[in-house]
Amino acid sequence: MKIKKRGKTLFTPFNFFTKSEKAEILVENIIFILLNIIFISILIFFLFKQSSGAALLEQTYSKQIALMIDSAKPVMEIKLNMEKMQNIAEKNKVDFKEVVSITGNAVNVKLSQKTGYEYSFFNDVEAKAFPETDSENEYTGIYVFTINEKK
Amino acid sequence: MKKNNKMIIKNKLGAEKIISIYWFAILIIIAGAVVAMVSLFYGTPYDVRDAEANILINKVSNCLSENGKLNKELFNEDKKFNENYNLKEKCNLIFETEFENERGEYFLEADFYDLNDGPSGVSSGVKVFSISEGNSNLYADCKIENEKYNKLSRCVDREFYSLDSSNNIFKIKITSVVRKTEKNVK
Repeated sequence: MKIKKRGKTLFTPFNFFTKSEKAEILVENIIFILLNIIFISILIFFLFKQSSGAALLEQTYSKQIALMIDSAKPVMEIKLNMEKMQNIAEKNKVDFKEVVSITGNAVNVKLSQKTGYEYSFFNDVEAKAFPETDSENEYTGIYVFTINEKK
Repeated sequence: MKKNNKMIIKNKLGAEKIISIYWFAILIIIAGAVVAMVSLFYGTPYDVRDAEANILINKVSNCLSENGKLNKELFNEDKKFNENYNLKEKCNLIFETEFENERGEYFLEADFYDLNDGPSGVSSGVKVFSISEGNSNLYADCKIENEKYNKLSRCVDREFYSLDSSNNIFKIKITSVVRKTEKNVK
């Protein structure tokens, strides 16, 4: 079946729309696909952002360091790779040497100016934390923990 | 025929609009679900109390017994258990935490069972000595075994065997309780 309009074929079972309508459908589909891609990208970005968030890392590292000190015995020196933390701290304009602090029997990890997470340990030792530096006095991304007996 | 064609096209456009509205509704529902799940997953704090309680037991067992022999300080001069043995001081423990709970977030108990043969030739296995430190109120939480009560303290108990200076066998059961619910449970 063919329907003709001013000499042009309007539609056949295989050719339903005119040229302008075809273009419209193509643009609509492209916009639709683009919107879907944007939507999925935002979701993936949100997931990555959540999993590498400062608050989550602060909690993870403070608990990990507290458990590490609990398991340690005097005299010990423990090195912990914290390159990931260094990058986040630099982004948030926090000096790497201020990221981990130990006051009394509590470990405090701070990755941004406003936040911070504290967790206590039960091992009654003198624990100190400081970042390792290379010969050019630059941070290597490693934190050193020293465990000594209390004086 | 023309009218019919126009109606078909109009209906198709209308249907497409309805589909796009449904599609956006579905996208919003999916986005909402993903955000809710991620927030729930990452919002829940890591529960490290089990690890903490196990480390506490390791530390205390190393302090009570060394190379399979019970610490000499556990006994008096007359070879009886020393009632004044200070677990916290001898094992280098500090139970003060950042929480405001004055009673303490930890409880520790070490029970000593005599496994030596009695006069009848059978081991009695009687508890002969017990020392504890910390907030004893937390011990009650260990009796409740239900997943619904995960906001209560976490209890771990382990046992080991050791000898005294006269080669008498003892079973030592250490129970360690850690509360710290504020930082480990949502």
